[in-house]
Amino acid sequence: MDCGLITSVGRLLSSEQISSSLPFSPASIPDLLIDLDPAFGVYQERNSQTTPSGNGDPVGSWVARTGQIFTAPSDSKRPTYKTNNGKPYLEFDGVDDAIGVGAQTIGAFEYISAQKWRGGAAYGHYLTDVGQIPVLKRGTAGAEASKHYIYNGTTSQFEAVASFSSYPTPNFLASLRRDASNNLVGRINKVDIITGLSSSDNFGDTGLWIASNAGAAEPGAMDSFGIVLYSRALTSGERAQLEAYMEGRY
Amino acid sequence: MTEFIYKFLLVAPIEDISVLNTWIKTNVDPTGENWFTPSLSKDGKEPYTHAVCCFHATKDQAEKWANQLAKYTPLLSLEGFTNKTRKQQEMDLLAYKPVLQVAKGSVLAMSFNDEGKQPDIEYNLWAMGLRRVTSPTLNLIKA
Repeated sequence: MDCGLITSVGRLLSSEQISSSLPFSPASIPDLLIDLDPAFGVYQERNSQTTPSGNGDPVGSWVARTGQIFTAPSDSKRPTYKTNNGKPYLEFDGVDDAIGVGAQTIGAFEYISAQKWRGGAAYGHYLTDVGQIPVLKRGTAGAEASKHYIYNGTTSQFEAVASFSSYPTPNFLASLRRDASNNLVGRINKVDIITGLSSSDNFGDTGLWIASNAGAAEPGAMDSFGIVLYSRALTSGERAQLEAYMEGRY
Repeated sequence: MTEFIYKFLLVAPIEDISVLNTWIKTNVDPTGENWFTPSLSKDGKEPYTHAVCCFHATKDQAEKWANQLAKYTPLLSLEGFTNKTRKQQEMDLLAYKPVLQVAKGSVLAMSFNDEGKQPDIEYNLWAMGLRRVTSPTLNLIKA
């Protein structure tokens, strides 16, 4: 037996070397909760039967790499599968399209989305209702294509930390906090993060929805290149890795 | 190549929604719920007067929809809709729009999904004299 060869192979396959040689993905960072990627798990039907055949197909379900199954409420509310330079995305029509999954109950979290709001419609919601901690983004026409949000346990620590200002060429704007123009709205534990006023609900608490409020109201006309969500706030280094990665999705 | 070559935008009065939803349940989407979303009124305030939906359709589904929409008024027929040229299909539906508006207060638009077009809901709503009802919740937040 050639023990030298076995030893060499063993060295080549050590876990450290394998992990360091693998390309970066959201799973490379610990505490990943959701990784929605339009290049993965996209099906025409709401019961996940057929992958899209090309531009224009409806998307009834979107299975996250982390296992959650996002589903459109009805066939009429399915977003559209599209590609841009060969890279897939989901187009939400701003009329009634929405896709969602049951509530994800977490505490502190951060999410990063790569999405473009096309404007025109009244609302530009990106993501709503994470369990009892809803995240609600309402944009302005032609504005941000993506934002991250961090919630560390108090409303004062909820902030948007980055955005793209153009599409398809991202332009990162670091450390953009929520501002006085109500660019960012939401409620945490039934408290409005802008006004601090208590409310009777958290916009429905019906689950985690993309492109609408609770899957029915306030639809956003937007293109989604995916969302990643972690159950903790990220470090600046991790955030930089994810920004570069999400930029690569378009 | 997608088989969903059509994209329909339909706006209908609130009082018609239950009939349309029943027909949808039987003919189009047995497991889907609430295709039409009440979200419109003349002045952009509650109560809602109209509901909207926007959806993909294959050739067969488009034929069903064309026939169903033709029942709104006996004045025009959409028989053989999907066998016509694309231009003629557009013209047929354009011809229908004012008739439907007068007869039922409805409006519809159709685009060819595989060409990347989307129905322009804002234009259609404006032409219809309808506005999106702003969420009272969001109004409260913006205030």
